[in-house]
Amino acid sequence: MEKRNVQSWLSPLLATLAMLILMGANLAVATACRGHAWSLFAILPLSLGQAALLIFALMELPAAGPVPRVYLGLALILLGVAALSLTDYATRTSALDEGAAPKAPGHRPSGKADDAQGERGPETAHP
Amino acid sequence: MPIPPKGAETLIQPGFGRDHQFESEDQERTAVRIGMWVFLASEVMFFGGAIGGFIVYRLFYPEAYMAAAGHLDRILGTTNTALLLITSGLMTLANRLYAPGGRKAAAICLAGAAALGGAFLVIKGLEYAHEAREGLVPFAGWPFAFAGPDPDHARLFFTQYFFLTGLHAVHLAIGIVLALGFAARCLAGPRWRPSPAALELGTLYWHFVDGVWIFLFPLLYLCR
Repeated sequence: MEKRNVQSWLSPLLATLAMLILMGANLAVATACRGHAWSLFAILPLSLGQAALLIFALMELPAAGPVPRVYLGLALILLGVAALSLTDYATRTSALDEGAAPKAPGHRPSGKADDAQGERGPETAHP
Repeated sequence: MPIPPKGAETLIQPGFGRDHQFESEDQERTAVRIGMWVFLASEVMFFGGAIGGFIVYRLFYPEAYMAAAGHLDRILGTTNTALLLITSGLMTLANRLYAPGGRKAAAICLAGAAALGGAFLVIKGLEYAHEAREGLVPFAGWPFAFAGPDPDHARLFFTQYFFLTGLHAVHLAIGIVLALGFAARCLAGPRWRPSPAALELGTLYWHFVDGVWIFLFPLLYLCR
Protein backbone atom coordinates (compact mmCIF):
# COMPACT_ATOMS: atom_id res chain seq x y z
CA MET A 1 0.00 0.00 0.00
CA GLU A 2 2.83 2.35 1.01
CA LYS A 3 4.73 1.50 -2.17
CA ARG A 4 1.69 2.36 -4.28
CA ASN A 5 1.38 5.72 -2.51
CA VAL A 6 5.00 6.55 -3.24
CA GLN A 7 4.50 5.57 -6.89
CA SER A 8 1.44 7.78 -7.22
CA TRP A 9 3.60 10.64 -5.88
CA LEU A 10 6.62 9.82 -7.89
CA SER A 11 5.13 9.35 -11.35
CA PRO A 12 3.90 12.96 -11.79
CA LEU A 13 7.23 14.25 -10.48
CA LEU A 14 9.15 12.06 -12.94
CA ALA A 15 6.88 13.07 -15.81
CA THR A 16 7.41 16.74 -14.96
CA LEU A 17 11.15 16.21 -14.80
CA ALA A 18 11.10 14.46 -18.18
CA MET A 19 9.15 17.37 -19.68
CA LEU A 20 11.69 19.83 -18.29
CA ILE A 21 14.52 17.76 -19.80
CA LEU A 22 12.73 17.77 -23.16
CA MET A 23 12.38 21.54 -22.87
CA GLY A 24 16.15 21.77 -22.36
CA ALA A 25 16.70 19.52 -25.38
CA ASN A 26 14.38 21.76 -27.38
CA LEU A 27 16.48 24.79 -26.44
CA ALA A 28 19.67 22.99 -27.46
CA VAL A 29 18.20 21.91 -30.81
CA ALA A 30 16.86 25.42 -31.43
CA THR A 31 20.31 26.89 -30.77
CA ALA A 32 21.92 24.36 -33.11
CA CYS A 33 19.42 25.06 -35.94
CA ARG A 34 19.37 28.81 -35.48
CA GLY A 35 18.89 30.69 -38.74
CA HIS A 36 17.53 27.75 -40.71
CA ALA A 37 14.01 27.91 -42.11
CA TRP A 38 13.53 24.19 -41.39
CA SER A 39 14.27 24.59 -37.67
CA LEU A 40 10.51 24.30 -37.11
CA PHE A 41 10.63 20.62 -38.08
CA ALA A 42 13.52 19.93 -35.72
CA ILE A 43 11.84 21.60 -32.77
CA LEU A 44 8.24 20.41 -33.04
CA PRO A 45 8.89 16.66 -32.49
CA LEU A 46 10.33 17.40 -29.05
CA SER A 47 7.24 19.44 -28.24
CA LEU A 48 5.11 16.52 -29.37
CA GLY A 49 7.06 14.36 -26.91
CA GLN A 50 6.29 16.82 -24.13
CA ALA A 51 2.62 16.86 -25.09
CA ALA A 52 2.55 13.04 -25.13
CA LEU A 53 4.00 12.94 -21.61
CA LEU A 54 1.42 15.46 -20.49
CA ILE A 55 -1.49 13.56 -22.03
CA PHE A 56 -0.47 10.04 -21.06
CA ALA A 57 1.38 10.51 -17.76
CA LEU A 58 -0.37 13.50 -16.19
CA MET A 59 -3.80 13.64 -17.83
CA GLU A 60 -3.98 9.82 -17.84
CA LEU A 61 -5.89 9.62 -21.09
CA PRO A 62 -5.72 5.78 -21.30
CA ALA A 63 -7.44 5.48 -17.92
CA ALA A 64 -10.19 7.87 -18.95
CA GLY A 65 -11.88 5.26 -21.16
CA PRO A 66 -12.49 5.07 -24.91
CA VAL A 67 -14.88 8.02 -25.35
CA PRO A 68 -12.33 10.78 -24.58
CA ARG A 69 -9.85 9.06 -26.87
CA VAL A 70 -12.39 9.06 -29.70
CA TYR A 71 -13.20 12.75 -29.17
CA LEU A 72 -9.56 13.72 -29.04
CA GLY A 73 -8.85 11.63 -32.15
CA LEU A 74 -11.74 13.29 -34.01
CA ALA A 75 -10.49 16.73 -32.99
CA LEU A 76 -7.01 15.92 -34.27
CA ILE A 77 -8.37 14.54 -37.58
CA LEU A 78 -10.47 17.67 -38.09
CA LEU A 79 -7.42 19.78 -37.30
CA GLY A 80 -5.40 17.88 -39.88
CA VAL A 81 -8.09 18.50 -42.51
CA ALA A 82 -8.21 22.18 -41.55
CA ALA A 83 -4.41 22.47 -41.77
CA LEU A 84 -4.42 20.89 -45.24
CA SER A 85 -7.20 23.21 -46.42
CA LEU A 86 -5.39 26.24 -45.05
CA THR A 87 -2.14 25.20 -46.73
CA ASP A 88 -4.00 24.68 -50.01
CA TYR A 89 -5.69 28.07 -49.71
CA ALA A 90 -2.43 29.84 -48.87
CA THR A 91 -0.65 28.11 -51.77
CA ARG A 92 -3.31 29.18 -54.24
CA THR A 93 -3.48 32.74 -52.91
CA SER A 94 0.27 33.04 -53.06
CA ALA A 95 0.32 31.64 -56.61
CA LEU A 96 -2.34 34.17 -57.66
CA ASP A 97 -0.34 37.02 -56.10
CA GLU A 98 2.77 35.83 -57.86
CA GLY A 99 0.91 35.77 -61.18
CA ALA A 100 -0.45 39.29 -60.69
CA ALA A 101 2.81 40.93 -59.62
CA PRO A 102 5.22 42.16 -62.31
CA LYS A 103 8.37 40.08 -62.30
CA ALA A 104 11.79 41.70 -62.26
CA PRO A 105 14.36 40.49 -64.81
CA GLY A 106 16.20 37.49 -63.44
CA HIS A 107 13.38 36.80 -60.95
CA ARG A 108 13.75 33.43 -59.28
CA PRO A 109 10.82 31.84 -57.53
CA SER A 110 11.43 30.80 -53.93
CA GLY A 111 9.38 29.08 -51.23
CA LYS A 112 6.61 26.52 -51.30
CA ALA A 113 4.07 28.59 -53.18
CA ASP A 114 6.48 29.08 -56.01
CA ASP A 115 7.29 25.40 -56.06
CA ALA A 116 3.60 24.68 -56.59
CA GLN A 117 3.63 27.10 -59.50
CA GLY A 118 6.96 25.78 -60.79
CA GLU A 119 7.84 26.20 -64.42
CA ARG A 120 4.23 26.05 -65.60
CA GLY A 121 3.58 29.75 -65.19
CA PRO A 122 0.78 31.47 -63.29
CA GLU A 123 -1.93 30.35 -65.74
CA THR A 124 -1.65 26.70 -64.72
CA ALA A 125 -1.15 27.29 -61.02
CA HIS A 126 -4.85 27.67 -60.37
CA PRO A 127 -7.97 26.50 -62.22
CA MET B 1 -16.51 10.03 2.48
CA PRO B 2 -18.35 6.69 2.40
CA ILE B 3 -21.54 6.60 0.37
CA PRO B 4 -24.58 5.89 2.55
CA PRO B 5 -26.93 3.03 1.67
CA LYS B 6 -29.75 3.40 -0.83
CA GLY B 7 -32.54 5.57 0.39
CA ALA B 8 -30.27 7.95 2.21
CA GLU B 9 -29.02 9.74 -0.95
CA THR B 10 -30.87 12.91 -0.11
CA LEU B 11 -28.61 13.30 2.93
CA ILE B 12 -25.54 13.69 0.73
CA GLN B 13 -24.71 17.32 0.35
CA PRO B 14 -23.41 18.55 -2.95
CA GLY B 15 -19.72 19.38 -2.89
CA PHE B 16 -18.21 16.30 -1.36
CA GLY B 17 -18.47 12.57 -1.89
CA ARG B 18 -20.58 12.86 -5.02
CA ASP B 19 -23.25 15.15 -6.38
CA HIS B 20 -26.80 14.00 -5.69
CA GLN B 21 -27.83 13.33 -9.30
CA PHE B 22 -25.32 10.49 -9.65
CA GLU B 23 -25.84 6.94 -8.45
CA SER B 24 -22.21 6.43 -7.52
CA GLU B 25 -18.90 8.24 -7.41
CA ASP B 26 -17.71 6.15 -10.35
CA GLN B 27 -20.68 7.19 -12.45
CA GLU B 28 -20.06 10.83 -11.60
CA ARG B 29 -16.40 10.54 -12.47
CA THR B 30 -17.13 8.90 -15.85
CA ALA B 31 -19.79 11.46 -16.77
CA VAL B 32 -17.76 14.53 -15.87
CA ARG B 33 -14.63 13.13 -17.49
CA ILE B 34 -16.42 12.64 -20.80
CA GLY B 35 -17.92 16.12 -20.60
CA MET B 36 -14.53 17.65 -19.87
CA TRP B 37 -12.80 15.78 -22.69
CA VAL B 38 -15.47 16.91 -25.15
CA PHE B 39 -14.83 20.48 -24.03
CA LEU B 40 -11.07 19.98 -24.29
CA ALA B 41 -11.44 18.50 -27.79
CA SER B 42 -13.30 21.65 -28.88
CA GLU B 43 -10.56 23.77 -27.31
CA VAL B 44 -7.93 21.69 -29.12
CA MET B 45 -9.64 22.53 -32.42
CA PHE B 46 -9.86 26.21 -31.50
CA PHE B 47 -6.23 26.61 -30.49
CA GLY B 48 -5.12 24.10 -33.13
CA GLY B 49 -6.64 26.25 -35.88
CA ALA B 50 -4.86 29.35 -34.61
CA ILE B 51 -1.56 27.50 -34.17
CA GLY B 52 -1.98 25.81 -37.58
CA GLY B 53 -2.45 29.24 -39.17
CA PHE B 54 0.72 30.43 -37.50
CA ILE B 55 2.68 27.41 -38.81
CA VAL B 56 1.44 27.95 -42.37
CA TYR B 57 2.48 31.61 -42.38
CA ARG B 58 5.78 30.69 -40.71
CA LEU B 59 6.43 28.36 -43.67
CA PHE B 60 5.52 31.03 -46.21
CA TYR B 61 7.50 33.92 -44.70
CA PRO B 62 10.36 32.25 -42.83
CA GLU B 63 12.73 35.24 -42.97
CA ALA B 64 10.22 37.72 -41.56
CA TYR B 65 9.02 35.31 -38.87
CA MET B 66 12.54 34.36 -37.79
CA ALA B 67 13.61 37.99 -37.60
CA ALA B 68 10.48 38.89 -35.63
CA ALA B 69 10.96 35.95 -33.22
CA GLY B 70 14.46 37.31 -32.55
CA HIS B 71 12.83 40.29 -30.80
CA LEU B 72 11.17 38.07 -28.18
CA ASP B 73 12.96 37.41 -24.90
CA ARG B 74 13.96 33.75 -24.96
CA ILE B 75 15.06 33.69 -21.30
CA LEU B 76 11.70 34.93 -20.07
CA GLY B 77 9.93 32.51 -22.39
CA THR B 78 11.99 29.59 -21.07
CA THR B 79 11.37 30.64 -17.47
CA ASN B 80 7.66 30.76 -18.14
CA THR B 81 7.70 27.32 -19.75
CA ALA B 82 9.52 25.82 -16.77
CA LEU B 83 7.03 27.45 -14.40
CA LEU B 84 4.05 26.01 -16.27
CA LEU B 85 5.53 22.51 -16.47
CA ILE B 86 6.12 22.54 -12.71
CA THR B 87 2.54 23.70 -12.10
CA SER B 88 1.25 20.72 -14.07
CA GLY B 89 3.19 18.40 -11.78
CA LEU B 90 1.79 20.21 -8.74
CA MET B 91 -1.78 19.94 -10.00
CA THR B 92 -1.42 16.20 -10.56
CA LEU B 93 0.11 15.82 -7.10
CA ALA B 94 -2.80 17.72 -5.59
CA ASN B 95 -5.17 15.37 -7.38
CA ARG B 96 -3.37 12.30 -6.04
CA LEU B 97 -3.02 13.66 -2.51
CA TYR B 98 -6.65 14.69 -2.19
CA ALA B 99 -7.89 12.24 0.39
CA PRO B 100 -9.07 12.55 3.99
CA GLY B 101 -5.50 12.65 5.32
CA GLY B 102 -3.99 14.74 2.55
CA ARG B 103 -6.33 17.65 2.04
CA LYS B 104 -3.89 20.18 3.46
CA ALA B 105 -1.06 18.92 1.25
CA ALA B 106 -3.41 19.05 -1.75
CA ALA B 107 -4.34 22.62 -0.88
CA ILE B 108 -0.64 23.57 -0.68
CA CYS B 109 0.00 22.05 -4.12
CA LEU B 110 -3.00 23.87 -5.58
CA ALA B 111 -1.95 27.18 -4.05
CA GLY B 112 1.61 26.62 -5.29
CA ALA B 113 0.34 25.97 -8.83
CA ALA B 114 -1.81 29.11 -8.67
CA ALA B 115 1.15 31.16 -7.40
CA LEU B 116 3.45 29.92 -10.18
CA GLY B 117 0.67 30.54 -12.71
CA GLY B 118 0.44 34.10 -11.35
CA ALA B 119 4.21 34.46 -11.74
CA PHE B 120 3.80 33.34 -15.37
CA LEU B 121 1.25 36.11 -15.99
CA VAL B 122 3.48 38.72 -14.32
CA ILE B 123 6.43 37.72 -16.52
CA LYS B 124 4.19 37.78 -19.59
CA GLY B 125 3.05 41.27 -18.61
CA LEU B 126 6.68 42.38 -18.34
CA GLU B 127 7.32 40.97 -21.80
CA TYR B 128 4.32 42.79 -23.24
CA ALA B 129 5.54 46.05 -21.67
CA HIS B 130 8.99 45.53 -23.18
CA GLU B 131 7.50 44.83 -26.62
CA ALA B 132 5.28 47.91 -26.37
CA ARG B 133 8.36 50.04 -25.58
CA GLU B 134 10.11 48.58 -28.63
CA GLY B 135 7.13 49.50 -30.81
CA LEU B 136 6.15 45.93 -31.63
CA VAL B 137 2.44 46.14 -30.84
CA PRO B 138 0.66 46.08 -34.21
CA PHE B 139 -2.83 47.18 -33.10
CA ALA B 140 -4.81 49.51 -30.84
CA GLY B 141 -3.22 52.58 -32.39
CA TRP B 142 0.29 51.80 -31.16
CA PRO B 143 3.03 52.88 -33.56
CA PHE B 144 4.52 49.74 -35.10
CA ALA B 145 8.24 50.18 -35.71
CA PHE B 146 9.91 46.91 -36.61
CA ALA B 147 13.58 47.33 -37.45
CA GLY B 148 14.25 44.32 -39.66
CA PRO B 149 13.46 42.71 -42.98
CA ASP B 150 9.89 42.50 -44.27
CA PRO B 151 8.06 44.59 -41.64
CA ASP B 152 4.66 43.80 -43.19
CA HIS B 153 4.95 40.10 -42.41
CA ALA B 154 6.64 40.85 -39.09
CA ARG B 155 3.45 42.72 -38.25
CA LEU B 156 1.53 39.54 -39.06
CA PHE B 157 3.84 37.61 -36.71
CA PHE B 158 3.24 40.02 -33.84
CA THR B 159 -0.52 40.05 -34.45
CA GLN B 160 -0.54 36.26 -34.14
CA TYR B 161 1.85 36.40 -31.18
CA PHE B 162 -0.37 38.75 -29.18
CA PHE B 163 -3.53 36.87 -30.16
CA LEU B 164 -2.18 33.43 -29.21
CA THR B 165 -0.39 34.44 -26.01
CA GLY B 166 -3.25 36.73 -24.94
CA LEU B 167 -5.79 33.97 -25.42
CA HIS B 168 -3.55 31.57 -23.52
CA ALA B 169 -3.15 34.10 -20.69
CA VAL B 170 -6.95 34.42 -20.39
CA HIS B 171 -7.25 30.62 -20.13
CA LEU B 172 -4.48 30.53 -17.55
CA ALA B 173 -6.13 33.28 -15.49
CA ILE B 174 -9.31 31.15 -15.39
CA GLY B 175 -7.18 28.19 -14.30
CA ILE B 176 -5.62 30.24 -11.50
CA VAL B 177 -9.02 31.27 -10.18
CA LEU B 178 -10.13 27.61 -10.27
CA ALA B 179 -6.98 26.41 -8.48
CA LEU B 180 -7.30 29.07 -5.78
CA GLY B 181 -10.96 28.20 -5.32
CA PHE B 182 -10.16 24.51 -4.97
CA ALA B 183 -7.32 25.26 -2.52
CA ALA B 184 -9.63 27.30 -0.32
CA ARG B 185 -12.37 24.68 -0.51
CA CYS B 186 -9.94 21.88 0.40
CA LEU B 187 -9.25 23.63 3.70
CA ALA B 188 -12.87 24.55 4.34
CA GLY B 189 -15.46 22.48 6.17
CA PRO B 190 -16.91 19.28 4.72
CA ARG B 191 -19.84 21.14 3.17
CA TRP B 192 -17.52 23.09 0.88
CA ARG B 193 -14.95 20.44 0.03
CA PRO B 194 -14.75 19.73 -3.72
CA SER B 195 -15.57 16.24 -4.94
CA PRO B 196 -12.56 14.30 -6.28
CA ALA B 197 -14.22 14.39 -9.72
CA ALA B 198 -14.43 18.21 -9.64
CA LEU B 199 -10.78 18.46 -8.67
CA GLU B 200 -9.89 16.11 -11.50
CA LEU B 201 -11.72 18.38 -13.96
CA GLY B 202 -9.78 21.41 -12.77
CA THR B 203 -6.55 19.46 -13.14
CA LEU B 204 -7.45 18.39 -16.70
CA TYR B 205 -8.20 21.98 -17.65
CA TRP B 206 -4.89 23.13 -16.19
CA HIS B 207 -3.01 20.47 -18.13
CA PHE B 208 -4.70 21.59 -21.32
CA VAL B 209 -3.56 25.18 -20.77
CA ASP B 210 -0.04 23.86 -20.15
CA GLY B 211 -0.27 21.75 -23.32
CA VAL B 212 -1.12 24.81 -25.42
CA TRP B 213 1.97 26.60 -24.11
CA ILE B 214 4.13 23.55 -24.89
CA PHE B 215 3.46 24.31 -28.58
CA LEU B 216 3.42 28.10 -28.36
CA PHE B 217 6.84 28.33 -26.72
CA PRO B 218 8.91 26.65 -29.47
CA LEU B 219 6.87 28.18 -32.29
CA LEU B 220 7.15 31.73 -30.99
CA TYR B 221 10.46 31.80 -29.15
CA LEU B 222 12.67 29.06 -30.57
CA CYS B 223 12.11 29.17 -34.35
CA ARG B 224 14.46 32.00 -35.15
